[in-house]
Amino acid sequence: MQYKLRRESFASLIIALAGLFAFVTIVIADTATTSVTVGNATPSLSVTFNGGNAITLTESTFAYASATLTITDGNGCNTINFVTATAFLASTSALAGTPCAENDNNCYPTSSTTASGIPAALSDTLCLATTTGNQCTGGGDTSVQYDCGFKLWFIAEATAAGSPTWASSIWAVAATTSDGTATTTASNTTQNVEINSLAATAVDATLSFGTLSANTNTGATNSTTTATTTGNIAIDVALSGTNMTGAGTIDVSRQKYSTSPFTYSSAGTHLTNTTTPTVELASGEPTATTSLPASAISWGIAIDAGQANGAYTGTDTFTAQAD
Amino acid sequence: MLYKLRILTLALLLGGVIGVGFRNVYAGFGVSPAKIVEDNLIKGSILERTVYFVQGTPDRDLKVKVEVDDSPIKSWIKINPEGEFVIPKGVQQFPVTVVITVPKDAKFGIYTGFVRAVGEPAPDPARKEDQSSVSIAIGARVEFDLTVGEGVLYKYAIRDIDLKNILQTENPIADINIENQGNVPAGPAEASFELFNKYGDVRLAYVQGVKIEPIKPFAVESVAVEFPISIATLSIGEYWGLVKLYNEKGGVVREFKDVFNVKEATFLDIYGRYIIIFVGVILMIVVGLLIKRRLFRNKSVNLSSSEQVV
Repeated sequence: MQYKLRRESFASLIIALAGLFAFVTIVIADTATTSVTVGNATPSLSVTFNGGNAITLTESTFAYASATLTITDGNGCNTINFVTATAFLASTSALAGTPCAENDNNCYPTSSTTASGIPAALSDTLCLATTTGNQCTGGGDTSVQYDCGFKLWFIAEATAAGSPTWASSIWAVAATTSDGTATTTASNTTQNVEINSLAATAVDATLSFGTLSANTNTGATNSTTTATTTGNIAIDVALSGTNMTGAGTIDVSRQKYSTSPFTYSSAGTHLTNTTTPTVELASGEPTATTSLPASAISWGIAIDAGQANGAYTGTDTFTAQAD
Repeated sequence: MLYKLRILTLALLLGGVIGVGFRNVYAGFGVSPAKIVEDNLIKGSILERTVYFVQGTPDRDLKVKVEVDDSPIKSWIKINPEGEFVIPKGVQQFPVTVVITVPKDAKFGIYTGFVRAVGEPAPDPARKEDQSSVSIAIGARVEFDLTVGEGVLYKYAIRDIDLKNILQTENPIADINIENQGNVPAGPAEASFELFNKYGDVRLAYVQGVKIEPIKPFAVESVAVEFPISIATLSIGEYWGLVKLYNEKGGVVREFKDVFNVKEATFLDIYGRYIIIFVGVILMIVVGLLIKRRLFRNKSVNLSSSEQVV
């Protein structure tokens, strides 16, 4: 009987302990919560500009150069919601985040690209997510590539060796990206990208010597041509010509020119079929695409006695060269 | 009176009315770079540069004549293309290669030379057959300022590194754009490559000691460097690659880390070379058998002919 009682007490004890453990387990499960806060990762950014190559401009108009931005964000590349870049004339190294006001000579900021991928303001100079390179595929993808196009006008400052003013400078791209919380700025610090000098001219000529009799010259009446600078450096021109032919021949030397109005018999330089000497133009380097430096060149001609009547044709050549 | 009449007639005959004039022209033309400066040439140096003839409005084929001006270094300068050629309509930037070869017996000094290009004047549709005109041609000149001296200049710049997208069966490849700014062959000596997963935190492969050939003096060249990794077939997806370039002393001259993509290789990409080898072997066997058969047949014919003679 006593033995049975002991067994029942022992069983009760086991049940009680089991209940206690069960209770403890429940308590532990109830209080051991797991928590972690995923912090925002600051995006990182690398920039390459025009493949490191020198940029060649196009006279009178623009040429595109591009920068490639590789953006990485540990929280995923789809968190990137802002991208912008600026191509600018830098001293001797690319400084990150160099602010500058838009200027066709030296500063080309892009429109900012927002989360939707659409530029904040439509522009020819902007950054867009690549369609050919490293695209953001979402999920765990952490990196994405953006391509920035810069519409560089023909007056962008030349920095290559031998350039008149900025030969010791370079062109750089500074880019900024953000994931809405953290912002990063970087530039192409390991590249020295130059813009080549461009010597170019456009000649807009409405000239006529009119009708002249033999054994006369144009006297103090000049015709003019205008040489407009359409590159990024100041230029001079070399003038040369051919004999005019028709019913006879008018020797090229019968044409005279000068950078200022002149009287044929007392001034002006005879045109030759060689390219020397160079004509020094007073016009300088362009500073705006809307008002280009231009130099007028005055012309006169003499017709020899005995020159046959008729129409004459010839060619005069303007050769642009660095000032 | 008769004398005066004769003078008047002569004057009219000799001095008739002559029309000369320029017609309207609007065109632009230029050259870039306008000046090429090189201070570190030595005897025997070869300098190669590309210059561009540019037009803002290339609305017609433009016949251009390029020539080297007379100067002491005229014979050093070669242009390609040279003489007269046509810049096609629509081409705004036309490249021309200029090669300057400094003779081995050149004297030390500073030399200047010029290359000149002139475009043919635009035809004027408004001009009548009997109308006088002086057409205006526009050209541009490139100036070369060259200094020939002595002394070795070993200097180069790495302009750009680009990790190419590859197929699963290919090794990682980096295009490295190098400019040799000196007068002797130069460039990074070796490269290493580390392959990381798409998050850039787990290294999957490492290759070192990949040799890079030096670049010619004064040249800009893009070198494709292949890194033979130990993984035969990469999975499709994004990877990070870290390229390190070393000089001859083993010092790191440039590090570059970027993402590249591994794309699916097609059946032909994977097995194409084996198929070509297999087909080639089969063809060789077939051709061999045919030749053997023909030789055997000729031998038989010869034997039977001999028997007839006998």
